Amino acid sequence: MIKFEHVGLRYGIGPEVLSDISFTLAPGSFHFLCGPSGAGKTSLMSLLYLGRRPTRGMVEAFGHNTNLLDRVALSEERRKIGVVFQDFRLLPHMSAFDNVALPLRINDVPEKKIKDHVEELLDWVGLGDSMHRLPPTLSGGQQQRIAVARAVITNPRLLLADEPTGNLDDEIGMKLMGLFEQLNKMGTTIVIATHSLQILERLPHPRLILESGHLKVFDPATSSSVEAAHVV
Amino acid sequence: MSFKVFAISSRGGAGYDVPLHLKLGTEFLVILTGLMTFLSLLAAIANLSLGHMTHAWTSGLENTLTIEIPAPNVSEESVSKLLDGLRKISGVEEAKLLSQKDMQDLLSPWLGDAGSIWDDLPVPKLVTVSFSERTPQLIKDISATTRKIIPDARVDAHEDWLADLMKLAHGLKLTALAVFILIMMVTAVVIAGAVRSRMAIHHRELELLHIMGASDRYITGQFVRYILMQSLKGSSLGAVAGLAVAGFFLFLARRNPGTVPELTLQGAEWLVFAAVPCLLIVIGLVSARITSLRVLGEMP
Repeated sequence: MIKFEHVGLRYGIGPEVLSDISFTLAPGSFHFLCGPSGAGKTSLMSLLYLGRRPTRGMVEAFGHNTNLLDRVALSEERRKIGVVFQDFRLLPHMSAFDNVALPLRINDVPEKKIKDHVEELLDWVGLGDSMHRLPPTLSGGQQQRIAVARAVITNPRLLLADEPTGNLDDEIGMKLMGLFEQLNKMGTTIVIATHSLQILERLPHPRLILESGHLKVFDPATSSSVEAAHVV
Repeated sequence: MSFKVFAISSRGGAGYDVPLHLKLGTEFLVILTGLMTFLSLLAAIANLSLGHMTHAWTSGLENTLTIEIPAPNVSEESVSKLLDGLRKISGVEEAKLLSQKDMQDLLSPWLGDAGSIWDDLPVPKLVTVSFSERTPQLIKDISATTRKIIPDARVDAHEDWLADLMKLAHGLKLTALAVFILIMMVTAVVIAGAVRSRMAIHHRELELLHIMGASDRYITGQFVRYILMQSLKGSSLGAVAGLAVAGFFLFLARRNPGTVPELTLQGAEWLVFAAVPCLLIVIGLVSARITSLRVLGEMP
């Protein structure tokens, strides 16, 4: 589904923040992305959601070499990816309903369908009563759930979440992880960047570990650690 | 409840994902397009009016010429012969000798009521020739006939000062056109700047839409719609102001002729009050679209 081959990324003429990254995410897999601050997690996430092009190497998404895709084709590939940002990035001038509806409107879905889908999803995440409220009037946890709803409304093939439990208490954080597990069981490939030891201990999914721009994979199920370049 | 109303109008009403409906220089764009519409209307009206004025000035003279005959040397018989000869030329509609009364009327502003001295003054005789269409051959034929019958007569085809007048008029028309084009160009540049500035302000929102897979066309559509709404407001105000000024000038011109430049728009030319705002809006939209696509092109 997603394949990185010898990918490097640098900003401007600065040093490489990611060096020689190679790995493959199989369809329906669930990975955690870990590493200390400044290791390049956010940069790797931006490559995963196709927000940047690598300065070297090849990123393959859903069977397409993204280096060869034009802008229109690349935007179509992006629509297959849902992203939950650490700071939510909700649009404050839009209601919860409109924030969640945004990806559907970008996909040109008819308004009638949008209404049905969004209301159903907001009910599911427990925000059915708050759908017309603006994000600044909601709590951190409620905003987080809107961000998640927005990321999953299009039923994406790949879901990326950057520290999704960072602003939540443990209980709500684990509930959210339960939601991700559910989505994964329905076939969505998931990558979650997290620092939370509690989550990492409770959920034994493979970990992509970034250190100084280099990637290793640790699988708690086998307690084995390998260089990411060899992981397929 | 108040939040609900605001939320629905924020997206459902204005239809912007990027908060373009929030007032961040919106008034500036409306005022600017209004002013530009008003100024370009004035330039367009000036251009059209100048065209009519020069036509009016020259149409009476273009198809006429004057033959001056020094009085002492010429007999009545020669003048009659000249008139007959001129009337026979193909293209000449009329050849007429100005009567003494006509001459007195012409010269009275300089000479006053000269009374009996008219008989002593060596006033030349004037023959006016009118024709259907001025051609070099016709002028040549008239000159040749005149020289043949009265060699001392001088043919004044008004060509020298008519050419100067036309040059001046064309110069003024070109200036008005240049001003019009300049206003359109300034509008395009200013709107491009406004779009670029709004895109910089809302960079985070644009980036979010981009990550969600919004195409450049989708995002650009929002900015183009925003510019359309602002330009519509501004251009309407500018057109109304232009009409008001034109109406005021027409009123003054009718009430006190000669005190203000005369507006001479005819028939379909009044459509200028619709065409110029529309052109300005189209230029604004094209400028907004090109700018937006360029800025988005800088994103990966």
